[in-house]
Amino acid sequence: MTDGMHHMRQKCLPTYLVIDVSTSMSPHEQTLNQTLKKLHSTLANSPRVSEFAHMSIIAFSTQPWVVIEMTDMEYVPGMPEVACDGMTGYGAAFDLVRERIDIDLPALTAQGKAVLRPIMFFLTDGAPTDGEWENAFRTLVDKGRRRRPHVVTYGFGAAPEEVLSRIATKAAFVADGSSGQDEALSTALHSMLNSLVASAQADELLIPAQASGYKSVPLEYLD
Amino acid sequence: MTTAAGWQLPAAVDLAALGPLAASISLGAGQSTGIHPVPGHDGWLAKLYHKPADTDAAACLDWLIGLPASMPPADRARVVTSTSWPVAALLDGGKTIGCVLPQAPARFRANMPPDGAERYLEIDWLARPDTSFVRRGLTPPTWEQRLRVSHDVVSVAVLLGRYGLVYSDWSYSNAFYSPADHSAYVIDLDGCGRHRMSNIFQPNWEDPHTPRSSPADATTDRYRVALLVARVLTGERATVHALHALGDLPHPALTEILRDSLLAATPAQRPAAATLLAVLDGRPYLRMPVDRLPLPARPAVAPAPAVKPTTEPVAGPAARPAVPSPAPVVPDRPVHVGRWFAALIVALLILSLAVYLASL
Repeated sequence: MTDGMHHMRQKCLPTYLVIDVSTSMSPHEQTLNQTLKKLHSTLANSPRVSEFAHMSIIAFSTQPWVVIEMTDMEYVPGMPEVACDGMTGYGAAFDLVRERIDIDLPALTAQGKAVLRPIMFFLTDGAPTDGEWENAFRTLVDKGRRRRPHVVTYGFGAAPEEVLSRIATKAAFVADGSSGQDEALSTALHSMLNSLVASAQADELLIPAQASGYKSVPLEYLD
Repeated sequence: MTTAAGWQLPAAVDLAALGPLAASISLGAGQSTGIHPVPGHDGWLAKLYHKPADTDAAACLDWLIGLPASMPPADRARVVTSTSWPVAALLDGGKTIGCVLPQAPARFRANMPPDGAERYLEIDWLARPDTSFVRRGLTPPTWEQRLRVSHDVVSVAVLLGRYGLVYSDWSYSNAFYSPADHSAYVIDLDGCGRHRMSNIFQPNWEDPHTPRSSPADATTDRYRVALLVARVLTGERATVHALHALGDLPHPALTEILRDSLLAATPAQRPAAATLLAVLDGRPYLRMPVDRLPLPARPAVAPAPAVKPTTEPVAGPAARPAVPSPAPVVPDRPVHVGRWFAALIVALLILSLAVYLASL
């Protein structure tokens, strides 16, 4: 492909929204579903954003699973509702994101897209209940992995600040308690959406410097 | 209709003379901090720039404001019906800090998803396949309607080219269309430059021959207008998909002239907007030879996204019933995919027949 042809490829930011749906999230289940619905509606009706920021939604509790495979949200007719139950298994969620990245990115390239480094938005309200999550995370973001994602974390409720700061590679936000947990959850998803809109306009990844109701946490790198 | 003649104040106005402006009707984006209805002047908008225009830009705006007065009636009519052309510069301390523009007519508004609110219909809506309209409960535009919108857009491009103006900002959001009569309306004409201007960056509108740091000129506009028309006519957004889908249009001459613009090996070979308009009008036109870059291979079609059950799929603790997931989605690929599939089936049948006959 000549340089001129390269410009014809549409840039694509693979975006993984990884949501904690463990038991502790149950009180916020309705807010979570309402906010996800709004997120879908906004993206599905903003083709300039959705064609740039393709999205996959992964839910995790004791085990993770793919709620929506990587796609332009324009093509998803509606957002399924999430039910919260189980433990908070970070490690298996990171493993699944890594596996999906290895499937999704080649597929996007095969569709003729110029694929940017993926980004994972990680929302949780609790500490990990599995002991091996750090190894899984190290593997996910290993600098030797060409497809390692950027990571932005949003924590609220009992989410431990020190863990979120270790997971994030770009930005970590922890709810500052100035608003209720429901509002914090909604704000986190709006912050993510704003980031995607700004990124689509700029054609590159733009991370919000701040999120209303959240304090920014300094990043702590594992290595 | 809001016309320059309808603007009651001079072509250069102190901002303070307008009084307090109403709230912006647009989020600050691009070159402006906001676009405000002018109090006491219905149908007129004050667009305020991020920073005062430099001397050249201010002079160009003044020239633009005066230009329609010297145009022949047909061009003036096109200015009024199809563009938001500036009618006055807004001054503060002698510096140009914005301009006055006509508001787009109401026929370019409609109640649209997701909330059913009335809003201006960006041409973005047309750059979608028919299935995208149907899914939202909207009637898809017909081929003739897509052609009509394209015709208006190209007519504006021809007008600008005639006066040596470069727009540079052709994109999904800078033109509206009317669902009533399928006319188009191009906004933000105040940003036009004479012969060349800064290359306004919009993702997925990059001219392959004009680096971001290089100025845009008439050939950049030719590329972007052709891309906009290709997207509107095919409903395909990805350039490569649109290039292929052009081959399925029921208008071979249009296919070729658009591909000439989009694949020309050198920018100077891109057909002028006037040539494109002649093709749209069915008038005689002169097609110059164009060295084209090869048509890129058609990429794989995105599979239908899988939407999975919403509770933990393996034996999680007390998993509650999930809301049924939506029906599988068929990706929006226009008719040509079906044609390819049909061709494939026919080819397989022929092959099977040949194998069978050979075995006799």
